[in-house]
Amino acid sequence: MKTYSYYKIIIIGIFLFLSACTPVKPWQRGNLASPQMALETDFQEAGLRQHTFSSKESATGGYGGAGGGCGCN
Amino acid sequence: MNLFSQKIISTLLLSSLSFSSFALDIGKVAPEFSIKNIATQKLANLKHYQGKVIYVDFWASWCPPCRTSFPLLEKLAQDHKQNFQIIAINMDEEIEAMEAFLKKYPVSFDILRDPEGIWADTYGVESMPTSFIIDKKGIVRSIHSGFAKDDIHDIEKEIKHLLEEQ
Repeated sequence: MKTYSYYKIIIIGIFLFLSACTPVKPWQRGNLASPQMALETDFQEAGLRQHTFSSKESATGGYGGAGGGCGCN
Repeated sequence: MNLFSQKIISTLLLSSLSFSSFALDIGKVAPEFSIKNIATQKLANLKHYQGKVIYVDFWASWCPPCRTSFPLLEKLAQDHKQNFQIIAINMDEEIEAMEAFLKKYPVSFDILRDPEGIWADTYGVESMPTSFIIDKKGIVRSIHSGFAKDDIHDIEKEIKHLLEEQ
């Protein structure tokens, strides 16, 4: 019975450590803002490709915004 | 559902609760800070600037809107030398990044440094850059998140209005 409650504590502990969502403060987003973090490397080419895609498919969006993930503006 | 599952679910729910930090609101007294001034290497306090209209700007070298804002803010500072002060608080983790930025975008106003974000947290900064316009009495009169080129006109209007106040 005692071993069983130890297991309970361990399992609850593991669940607590599973919460990986740590809020990143706006001033900690320097690395996210670097060019290599951008979803597209060539914005002009990406814009052109999206334009062609939206003309052909009548659908647009879902590519993320320009730049990295700094959340600036 | 047995007691064990209930315990797990309630523990998970409790652990997922997020507690929002204190954010500064318009109309509140601007919190007093004590941050190192890059030029003088001395601690600067908000009190030092009392009686002036203050523009407190939280910025970082990697933030693209900050590159837009700096030349415009410098012009604003040059145009309003009487009773107006811009305080730019740098949030870069590495001082070299800040120095390189300032070489590219030189400014005459005060640059303070808060790399750990202690004061940004106190002021409730939610995006980069965020600026606070503080009146002569030390009250926060407006908060600007982000920066676009045309924002400077509204900011200048606000500052002119606050400079006219007694």
